[in-house]
Amino acid sequence: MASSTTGEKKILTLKGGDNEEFILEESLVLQSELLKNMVKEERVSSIPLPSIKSKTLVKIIEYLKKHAELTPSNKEEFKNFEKEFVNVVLEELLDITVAVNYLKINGLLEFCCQAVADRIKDKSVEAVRKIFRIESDFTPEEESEFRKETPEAFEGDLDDTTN
Amino acid sequence: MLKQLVTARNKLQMSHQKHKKDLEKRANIHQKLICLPYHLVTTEKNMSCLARLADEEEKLVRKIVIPSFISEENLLGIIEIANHAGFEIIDQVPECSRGHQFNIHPNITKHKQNDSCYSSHVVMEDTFCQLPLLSEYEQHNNSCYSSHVVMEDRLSQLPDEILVSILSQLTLREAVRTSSLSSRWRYLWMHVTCLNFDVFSEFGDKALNLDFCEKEGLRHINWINHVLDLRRSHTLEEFSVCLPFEGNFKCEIDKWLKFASSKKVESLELFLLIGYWVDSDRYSIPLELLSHGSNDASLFGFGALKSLTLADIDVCNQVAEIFLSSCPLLEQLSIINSRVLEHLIIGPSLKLKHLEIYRCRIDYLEICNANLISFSFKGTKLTNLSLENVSSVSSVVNLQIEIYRESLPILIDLIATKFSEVEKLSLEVSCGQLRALDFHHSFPKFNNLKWLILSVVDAVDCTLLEVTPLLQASPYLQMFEIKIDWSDTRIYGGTILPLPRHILYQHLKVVRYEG
Repeated sequence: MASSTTGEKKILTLKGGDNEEFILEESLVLQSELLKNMVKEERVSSIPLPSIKSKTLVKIIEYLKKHAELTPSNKEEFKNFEKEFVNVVLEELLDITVAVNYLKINGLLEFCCQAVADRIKDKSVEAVRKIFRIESDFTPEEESEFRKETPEAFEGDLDDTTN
Repeated sequence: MLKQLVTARNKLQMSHQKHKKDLEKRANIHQKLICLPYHLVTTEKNMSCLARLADEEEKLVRKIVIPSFISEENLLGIIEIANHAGFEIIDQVPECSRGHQFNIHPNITKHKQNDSCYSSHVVMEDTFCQLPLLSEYEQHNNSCYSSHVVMEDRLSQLPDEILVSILSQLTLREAVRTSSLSSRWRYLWMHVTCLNFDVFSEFGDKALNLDFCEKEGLRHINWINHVLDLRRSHTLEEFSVCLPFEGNFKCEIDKWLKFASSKKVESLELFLLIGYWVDSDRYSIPLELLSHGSNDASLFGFGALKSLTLADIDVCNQVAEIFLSSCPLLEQLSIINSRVLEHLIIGPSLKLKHLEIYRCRIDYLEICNANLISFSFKGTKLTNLSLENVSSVSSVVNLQIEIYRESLPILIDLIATKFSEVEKLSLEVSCGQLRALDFHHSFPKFNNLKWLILSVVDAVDCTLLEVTPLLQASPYLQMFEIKIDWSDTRIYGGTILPLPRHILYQHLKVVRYEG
């Protein structure tokens, strides 16, 4: 993104789910494998992304910009940015994760997975169910049976006291 | 009713409870019901902030009580906002809205509440606004999350591969635990491709004590075996075991290595720590594990290895050689504390970028045409390696060297000639070595050196003046770190003279001193 680059910067339009348009430099989207292929192979200038909400897209574009500006000297700053980036409501984090997976932005996907994992970490099974609204379709018998299968995983301090 | 609300609010204003804890406590007391006065919920920002708080604090019942005095117009707004933020509204539908047609979101459950219910649980606006979370939130550009969401199990709807990579970020025990979430999750963890069994991260230092080893060691081994039995993935990215070693674990470890090789492991780490009680007994990788089908490369299961760390294992010359010659993708190799490694030849065709040899008795090391980027070498008192045997590796930019035998002038000369491109040099020397440096010695220039870390061990009465020639030889140095480990300050004390002044430190930005 150095200003010294010769030749014109290519401009690309991304269309979010609510038809909002985002105009950005083509070089930015190359971090996404999906968009990269679209841009390189089909030479499109406008890409509709109906499955991604504009809010989510705004976030992702913000990330792409920051990532493009990443240099060894502002690593710290970028780390803080990343931390803030996933410091959002769970719903939004999942939206971003799904979108990033779709766009195939590998570095960010890994980071999002880490962020989701952080919300599972150190919690009892019951708490994880509640946070993510996962409904158990096991009978209590089934559940206790395969808890016995891997007792090592369930021993310890994480008792399911939430009830 | 309004009066009640106002009094409650005033009461709260009197008590200066401003912190998140307080909110949490109050929400907790009232059966995890978050009850808010109307003026609090009107802004979208407040709602999403609260939603996030509810997420984080696991106050999972997201319910909002709306006072009945709210006008229809405002109510509509609140319903919309609350639904956006994923809250359930417990409400008495206000009188004025009757007969009007407006859509109440199906999420709203009509619930008869006593007036006192909400007025007594009011969370004051001021309190809320002063939560650290909110200010943090406001800094964020796109902080409001207002897209319409119905709370449902979105996580389980994610594709398998994402869920598996989420599980990969958890410890194995946590990952296995998710199998009891629901049938969707039942077998997912079995596809995790990184298996990391680290006793130390789970049990801490007590893992190194004899009692622990006897009691828990076996259980840990059973756990590893159990996981290996259950998992189903055909590939294995990472297999890492960190375990205090005992003689009778040998066949188990053989078994794990066989497993790892059958899955074409990419990153293998074995830390078999030695307790003080078993100094003579160490694990060594049996040759037959590595050489079966020496003429058929496809049978050698470690051909996909990119990273290999063998710590506290007796890695003999032959084993090291097999790994180096049969793993064309190997990028990182660490051999730590092997008593039998004597010589090592790093050939030219390797992808090897990072080489670490710590505390081995090695005395011959040859590196030919390898494109090493980082090279770390730490010797012991028994190490015989002379750098003269190390061929010149100009690609190394990150060099860490600890050799106590050689005289420092010769060592530095050798480093300068053999690692001419080095950018970061970390040098650990003894005090005696440092003293042997002649103030007037002149070294070949380190033209790329930007970062120099000098650690002096067992320091007794030394001065930094001796470093002068080294600094003179590093004209582009940006960062200079000195770490001094005084052997006994009580007796001798220490003198460190200031950095010599006659050199121009044009590029030096940071000087750090420890000790």
